[in-house]
Amino acid sequence: MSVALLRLVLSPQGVEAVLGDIEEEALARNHQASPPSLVVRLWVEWLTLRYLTVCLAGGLNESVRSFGRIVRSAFWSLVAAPATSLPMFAILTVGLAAAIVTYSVVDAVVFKPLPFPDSNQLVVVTEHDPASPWETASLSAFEVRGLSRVNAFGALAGVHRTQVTIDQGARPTVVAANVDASLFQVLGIAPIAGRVLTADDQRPGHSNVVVIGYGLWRRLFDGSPSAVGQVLRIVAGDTTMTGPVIVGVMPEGFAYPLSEGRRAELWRPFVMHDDERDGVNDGHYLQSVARMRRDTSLRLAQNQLDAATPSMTAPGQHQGGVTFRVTPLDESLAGDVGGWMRLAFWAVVIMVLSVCANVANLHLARSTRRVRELAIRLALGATRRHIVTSLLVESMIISIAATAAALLIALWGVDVARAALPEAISRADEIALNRRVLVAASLSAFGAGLLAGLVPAWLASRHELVTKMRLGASLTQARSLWRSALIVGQMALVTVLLVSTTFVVLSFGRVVSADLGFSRQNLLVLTGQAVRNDGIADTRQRLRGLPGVVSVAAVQNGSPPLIAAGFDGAASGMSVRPANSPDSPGLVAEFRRVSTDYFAVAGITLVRGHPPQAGLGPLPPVVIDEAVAAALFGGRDPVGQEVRLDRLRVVTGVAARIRSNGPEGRVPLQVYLPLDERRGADFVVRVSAPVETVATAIRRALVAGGDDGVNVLRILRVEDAFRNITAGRRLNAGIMSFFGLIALLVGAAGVYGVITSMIAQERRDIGVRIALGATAGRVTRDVLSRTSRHLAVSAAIGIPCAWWVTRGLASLLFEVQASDVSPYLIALAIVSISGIAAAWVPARRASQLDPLVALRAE
Amino acid sequence: MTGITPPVLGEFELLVVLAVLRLGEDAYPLAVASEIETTTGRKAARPSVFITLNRLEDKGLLTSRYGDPSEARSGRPRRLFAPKPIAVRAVKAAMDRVEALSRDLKHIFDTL
Repeated sequence: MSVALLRLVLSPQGVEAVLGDIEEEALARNHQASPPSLVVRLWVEWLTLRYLTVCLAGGLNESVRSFGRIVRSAFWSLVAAPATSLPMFAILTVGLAAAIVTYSVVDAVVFKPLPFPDSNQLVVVTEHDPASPWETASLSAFEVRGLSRVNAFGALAGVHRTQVTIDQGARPTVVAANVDASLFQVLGIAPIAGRVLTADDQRPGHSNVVVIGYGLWRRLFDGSPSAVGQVLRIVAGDTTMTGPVIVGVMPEGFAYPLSEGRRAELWRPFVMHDDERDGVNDGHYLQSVARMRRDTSLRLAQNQLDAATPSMTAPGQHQGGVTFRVTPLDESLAGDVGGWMRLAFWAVVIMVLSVCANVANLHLARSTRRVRELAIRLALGATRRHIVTSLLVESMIISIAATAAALLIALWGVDVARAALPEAISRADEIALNRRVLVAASLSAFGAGLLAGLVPAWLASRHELVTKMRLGASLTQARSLWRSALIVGQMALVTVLLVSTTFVVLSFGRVVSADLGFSRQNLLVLTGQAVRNDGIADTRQRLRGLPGVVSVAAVQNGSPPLIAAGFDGAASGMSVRPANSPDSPGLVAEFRRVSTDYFAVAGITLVRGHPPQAGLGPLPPVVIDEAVAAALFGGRDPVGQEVRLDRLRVVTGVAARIRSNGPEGRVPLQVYLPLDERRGADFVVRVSAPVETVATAIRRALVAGGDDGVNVLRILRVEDAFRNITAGRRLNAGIMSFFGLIALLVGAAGVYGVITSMIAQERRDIGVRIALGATAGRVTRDVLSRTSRHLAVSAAIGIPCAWWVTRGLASLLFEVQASDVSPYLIALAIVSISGIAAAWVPARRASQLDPLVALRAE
Repeated sequence: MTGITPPVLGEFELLVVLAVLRLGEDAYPLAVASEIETTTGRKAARPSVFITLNRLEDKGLLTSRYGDPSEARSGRPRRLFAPKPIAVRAVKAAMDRVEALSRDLKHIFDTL
């Protein structure tokens, strides 16, 4: 410890001399040599501390003055050499701006604690039923009651997100939530006015109360305290109902649920129906949030939950296989995006490291050119500390200036990032250049300055500089080695980043080109009162006559594929059983009622048979998909066979499987029933003209009197639903490509810089070789082969690192294995081609050197 | 002789430079401390001597080099300090100042 302290302030020889003094004195006093006694060790520590104190305090005024001088001189020295200082500034600015924007996004979405006290104790419980075609994250009211009895949870609340239109002012539609009164206890937030909901409010007949959010309070009541006790008028369908009474106002920033775009601003008591209490009504529509007891761990809570599971599901519902899972609330909110965000964060760290290596290289190039100046400073008595300090200060000035510029860019970049993020990402509205981001930016500025300046400063301050100058020896050998090491390190980092990027981009490509079992291009879905209220035949007729409309089909009992997952449509499930065993549990499949042309319009292949058409036979028809067919009939031909759904039906056709939840979602079983002509339907429209033109024509044809209310007619593009589903992946592929590109460009610039500088140092040698008859091609080849050696070493380091990094990517990949070789080959090819291309220009320049000019310059 | 004005020495600095001058070739921190202690009877803490020697070197009054490794020090070298000419002038100036100020006070000292 003491010796380590000494090493901080003395040269290695100085430390040895001090230790020698200590040994000598110890010997003189005790006639005993090492090991040093405790007294001696204390002496060394005391000495070190004393020395530091003198350095720091005794000479403080002098230090401040001399530091001011160093800063001034470093600043002017940078200004005087814009050819090197500007590229360093520009490269660092770009790297840090990207880092700051990324960090501000990742921090808001993943790192920052939730705005609730002791938020690490908040968890959500989700249900997982392997027999269900859906990811059943929602719970039934019966299950929520069961969960609240689990001892690990101090408090637990069920939440149901909904919407409410208020008949006041501009009749705003706000996101509301029907919640258990315990929600406020779970989250640990008190109201700023009035009270929160109580268990009493959840009793039928007492529930006409509401707690409102801060924003709504400001908008509707201008922040007046008299809002508590007032009655809200709420629009329900065509009528306005009076009530509920506002009993409390929550503080600014409070919102729950936090996910899914807009935040809840109004909380009503959740009232459980009697049939829900008994478990007869098994509707799964509640989200749960719980606060774990202080002495409970996640594992303990999960164990208790597993033990309690059999008693939790309603009698007769979901026989077996149902499990409940406890997930920390923050993890559940970040969801898959959390993984993507962490990946982006590490990508940006790699990019910044690569940028630092590049700037360090530029510093080295600069100090190589300044070797004469530094040698003179050393000869005139500048200490090593002075030289190191002044070079580090130069590096710091650049990094601080670059951070300031990067923050300015990030001000704009954060807005862009917020707008570019998919709406479904929770807490995206919290993305801002806040204090946490500024602290991180300052730390990265300091780190970048230190990283980029340390090696050049250390090399430049070496005492042998003067000796070498005097001897006329080559000063560049050590630097060349370091520059090579830096460029190799940098290209290795670029390789790691590019391999990861290639994996992500390839996965994204596979996702986009995945066969979903239907054709999503040029497909529109029409929903809303305008299409549901009129007769199906009438609407279909009107749509068919429109220019740009190719074909039209109707669908009931569930949204067309992708719509539920990409927007907010619904799906319905139905049990499918073999005809001869009506009591078997059967399969749970998504079902839709469809018109006979639905398959043709949506582009779903009918593998066998024909579409479901009512009234053709004694039994109502059904079309099943291949998976249902395989499960019920094995190798037999299902067409003509009977199955039991809502009633006994005959299979008229077999459809290909479709991925109705997108390429990565669950693939539910599908059954198709004939359309019920008496009810309204949604429509699937295949168009040939640009969607915007057709959409206008459709709206004009279907909406009378120019009423363009959103609820009257929604025209949804299936392609948009797909984009929403893949938004996270798309965003990440974009971010990774962007960082990969920046790192590659910076890396190529680094290679260019190093080769240029090496050639500048070897002008004389190259001149001699050309004078002795070396051809231009030979000189170029030599330079390029040297670059290839750098690239080969960087690949040898980068590929194993990339292999290690990509093992962590496995869960984010789609139809690409972490063990695939192609991403490595692609990344290697990109790095090699860019590296060689960057070296090509200086290599060509070297080959065209005039030997006379080169030698004369020496 | 003209040249750069020598820096003003503090009392302990003066003692240290004088000890270095007395020790000649053999002035390393431990020896300087013992020289001060044995000659003046004043306690000279090793760290203070070491720090003062460093400071004097920073001020340009002394130079240092590392001697040969010695057995008694487990093969570790001594750091040997040597005065530059400016150190001699600084000592001379300091002593002149003391002499000038104390010249008229001889009668007071004589009573002791």
